[in-house]
Amino acid sequence: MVSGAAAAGDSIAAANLEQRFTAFVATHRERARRLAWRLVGGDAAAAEDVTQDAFVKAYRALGRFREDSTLETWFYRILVRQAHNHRRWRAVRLRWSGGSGEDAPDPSPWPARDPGLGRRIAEALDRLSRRQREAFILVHLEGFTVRESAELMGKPTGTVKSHLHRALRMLRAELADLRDVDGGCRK
Amino acid sequence: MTSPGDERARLEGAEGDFVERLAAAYAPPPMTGAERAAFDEGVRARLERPRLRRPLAAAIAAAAAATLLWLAISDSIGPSHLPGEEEVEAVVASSWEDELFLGSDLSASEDRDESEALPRDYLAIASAFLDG
Repeated sequence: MVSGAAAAGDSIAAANLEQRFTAFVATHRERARRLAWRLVGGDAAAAEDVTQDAFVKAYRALGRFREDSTLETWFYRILVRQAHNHRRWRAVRLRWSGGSGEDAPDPSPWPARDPGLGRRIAEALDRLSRRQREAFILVHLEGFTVRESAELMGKPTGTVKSHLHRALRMLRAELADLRDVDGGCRK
Repeated sequence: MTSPGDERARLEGAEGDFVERLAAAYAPPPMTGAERAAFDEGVRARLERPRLRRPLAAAIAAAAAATLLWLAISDSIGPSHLPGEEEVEAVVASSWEDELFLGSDLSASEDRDESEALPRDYLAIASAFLDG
């Protein structure tokens, strides 16, 4: 009787967990995939891989989180780290393959409205340091606050602000022409 | 977590526009219904996959540690230095030069080297049957 009740309780807990997880995925799927896409340099397949892995990790830890906000921070932190690991492995694979570009992201399905511009931005971001790139993408492209980004990057807010400042200065220099064209900053 | 754009909004006009433009140009298209379904299916499939990664990683780490240990041990008990090709050539050349310039018997030294390389049992058999 007791074991039956326990089993019923377990199945309810499992169902609740499933429900919470499904809701969590539905809420964060789009933003997480976009963030991963930006962090890995516009590689759609890699972004999907990184995002799905992060969700699986979130699911396995779901029971430990009482509030979804904590889970959210933790989830995005995992995602940022997964994306970084992906970039590292890609760099290693490229080095081993003699930099032939075999493992480079497939440029053909570049989905942005202006593929040339998208690729230029990806290259400019690539030239930033890891922390500068992460700070810029999290704060300016994804809209996380500096405090949230600091938490996701595991760095103090002052450090994130400094990375952000340098990243913006370097990108403005690299993509200076964007500020002078129609639709840009100066008309 | 906050809604997008609050920090971006703090940037002054020109910079704000610049960042806005980058954000618009550097983004994937929104997911379609089919893509969302495929994505969720992918997550499900990963969840159902057995968790082999941790034991596999542990096995790889153990194998790497064993290899390093083996290398360390073989280094400490084995010959500390094996002669390279250049060194062997130098030894051969010096023997040949010795014979030429100092008159030492190269063939004798070769014979001696060969017999020294034979195990004792073989030497005993050789002396019993060949030298008789």
